[in-house]
Amino acid sequence: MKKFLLTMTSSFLILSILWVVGIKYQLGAATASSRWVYDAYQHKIHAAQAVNTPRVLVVAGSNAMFGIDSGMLENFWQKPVINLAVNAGLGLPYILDVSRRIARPGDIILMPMEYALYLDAGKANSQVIDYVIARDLDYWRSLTRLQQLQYAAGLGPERWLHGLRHLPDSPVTSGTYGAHHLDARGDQTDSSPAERSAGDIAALKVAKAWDYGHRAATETGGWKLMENYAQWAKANNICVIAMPTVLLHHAKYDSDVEDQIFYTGLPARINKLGLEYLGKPRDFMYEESWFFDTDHHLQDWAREKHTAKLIALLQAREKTACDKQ
Amino acid sequence: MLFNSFEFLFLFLPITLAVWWLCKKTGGLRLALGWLVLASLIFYAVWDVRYLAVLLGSISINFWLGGRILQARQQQNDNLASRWMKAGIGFNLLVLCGFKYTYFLLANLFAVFHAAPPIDPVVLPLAISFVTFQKIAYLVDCRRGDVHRHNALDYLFFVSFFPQLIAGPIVHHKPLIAQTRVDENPLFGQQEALITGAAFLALGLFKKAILADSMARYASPVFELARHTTPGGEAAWQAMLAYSLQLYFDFSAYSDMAIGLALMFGFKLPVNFFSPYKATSIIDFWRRWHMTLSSFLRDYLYIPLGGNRHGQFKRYRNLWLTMLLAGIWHGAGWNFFLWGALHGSMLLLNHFWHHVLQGSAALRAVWNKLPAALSIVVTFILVAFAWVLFRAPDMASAGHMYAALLQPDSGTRLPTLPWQNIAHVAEALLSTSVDAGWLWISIGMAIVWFLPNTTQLLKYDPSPNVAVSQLSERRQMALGIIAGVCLWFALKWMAVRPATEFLYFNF
Repeated sequence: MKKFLLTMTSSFLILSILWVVGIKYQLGAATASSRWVYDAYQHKIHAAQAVNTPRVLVVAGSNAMFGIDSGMLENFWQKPVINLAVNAGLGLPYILDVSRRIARPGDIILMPMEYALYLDAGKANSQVIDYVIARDLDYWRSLTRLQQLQYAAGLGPERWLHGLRHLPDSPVTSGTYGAHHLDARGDQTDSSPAERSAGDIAALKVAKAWDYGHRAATETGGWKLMENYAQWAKANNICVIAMPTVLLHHAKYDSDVEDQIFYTGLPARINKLGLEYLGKPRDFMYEESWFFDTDHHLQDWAREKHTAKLIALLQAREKTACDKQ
Repeated sequence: MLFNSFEFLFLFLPITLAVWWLCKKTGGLRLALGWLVLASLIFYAVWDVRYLAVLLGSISINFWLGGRILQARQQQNDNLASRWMKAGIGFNLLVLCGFKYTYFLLANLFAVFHAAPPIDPVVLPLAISFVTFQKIAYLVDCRRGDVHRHNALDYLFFVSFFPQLIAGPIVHHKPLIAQTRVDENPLFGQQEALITGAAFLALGLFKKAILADSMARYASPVFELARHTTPGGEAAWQAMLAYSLQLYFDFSAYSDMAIGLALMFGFKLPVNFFSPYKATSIIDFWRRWHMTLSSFLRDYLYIPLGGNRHGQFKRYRNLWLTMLLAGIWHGAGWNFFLWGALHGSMLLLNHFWHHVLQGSAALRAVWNKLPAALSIVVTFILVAFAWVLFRAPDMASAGHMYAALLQPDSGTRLPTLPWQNIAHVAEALLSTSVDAGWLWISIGMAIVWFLPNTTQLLKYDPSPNVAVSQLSERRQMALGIIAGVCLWFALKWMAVRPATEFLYFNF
């Protein structure tokens, strides 16, 4: 029995140590899969850092990269607007952390966060693990030992092997995503109807309704993270305004009881966390013809209409907790 | 709760084991068995607590019926005992049919009148097919006089023991209950049982998490595509072979884990798989695949139908009917019906061929000279062809798959691996990318054809109340390394891929 337990535990430990050593060896080793996000963030962070006056920062996943016209918002606010939105796949903790690193007192954060992010309890997914280990060692070092272990456990074997290879890194210059398709404020370019591929159209045709309502009723969600974020913003004199995300409309959202409870109750739920929430989610669900390649990405002409609706809400906004800025 | 989930491995199992040992040590085996029953019911209820009532209701009625049969036997009233047994079998089949076949029958009936069935498909209570067979076997054993101790706790334990509750192996009352006596079961005091059990569990986890779930990536998308259209020939072949391997690794993994878990508690379960893809004929295949189902069908269906006692024609008829019912047992659908009929027909042909060989010494001499490898490959291909019916969601999909399989050159070719770049090949393998399909299938085939099975590897003797063989230090170390490596890889895979249900949970 002793020999069995000893060899079983030893084999397990040796493999675990090898795994961890492999991760140590590849920290900062670039991967092709993380490059477009890196390019996009570098572009946006440089744009934000170049402004010394109070700014408006758009914080969300890629729905806002495609769906927000920062120029229109700049005209409305008469302040520089930087669109920091890149990819919801990075998860709520990482997206919030990036904004924390960039925001300064006096800034406004406009947050049209994807519904999936409100439901993100913070478990690291393969995408953020790939990105952080390859590109953001500051964030990696900011994690607790336990979180680093969770990242190590969540790293896929193929990604582990890929990182060990230390392959050469080169910027993304083609395809829909990347800094090459961002304007100076960080908004997506080249998203006109003419630029849609057959694959983009097909992907939208098969897009199914999400089950956020059910998830919200059964999962922990990211509410605590949002509450902490609200407290951080308040302590740093940063005004956060949450607004609905863009979403392809499905009939289910009007008929499913759990969905109705979630979408109609979301503004009040966000308010309770100490954040201002403008608008109703249902008003920002659009038909298929508005979208570019996914059910969260608008075409350029639809972005203008959507941003105009957001501005109308901002104009009608009452004096709020973080004052009318 | 899935065996291949973290909550099972790190919460349910350690707690259940610890309390089991504690109860056994302080309160005796009966208390420990009571705990095991309670834990098993919790294990079942985690899926859907509503079906616990169905399970417990059915257990109560069957236990009562078993008592009636035994009482009638004691009164030497065989007719009454038989009537009670038939009533019990009828009741169990009614419950099974009610859940499993009502929608299928109504859908086909209403389809004749071009109308939709008046009800939605009924959600099948988990494990109902397996549990029903065990309960029927118990009633028949009562009638035959094979049950000597009709006890509520024993019966609850026999039906609900969690390692075999959901998907077998199908266990008989007598050999399992015979192991619930401290003085007769040497495994309760044997550390080797725990070691061998842990090794079984680790190997099973590896087979499920890495082999079966990886194969699924090459099978499922093609079968899904076949719902709508005929896939390419190469893709169809890949999907058929991948599914054949997936099903074997998945189901045998479950059986390995069930055997391992039972051993950890000191019980032996029967072997359910013995390298079925090494079978040299269809007859041989059914002696190696889902062996406890084959035994059940032989003992409780084929033999009661008359078996081979009434001439060749009735023997073949009984065999064919048995396989047909085996097909229907797997699911309510015409594809399962056909799958059963096909296997029944192949078995008949196989038996007929044996009959022909017996009558011709010259033919037998030629036949015996054929290499076994050829028989193994032909048998495997036949079985794999039949699995298409088993996997296809409907007959139209199966038709699309067969059309593609018969035209291997049709459609677009699948991407190939850049073999000159070993690192890329390794990455493709680990990520189960599209171009690594044939590599995964080759690995799977090598495992099923050239490696010993888990029963052989761990020298497992399923005989009840026979001690697990003593392990030398060297063997302990070898098992420790195998278990540690398999466990590590399985847990690593489980951490990055969501746990999937075992295929046989659907049946």
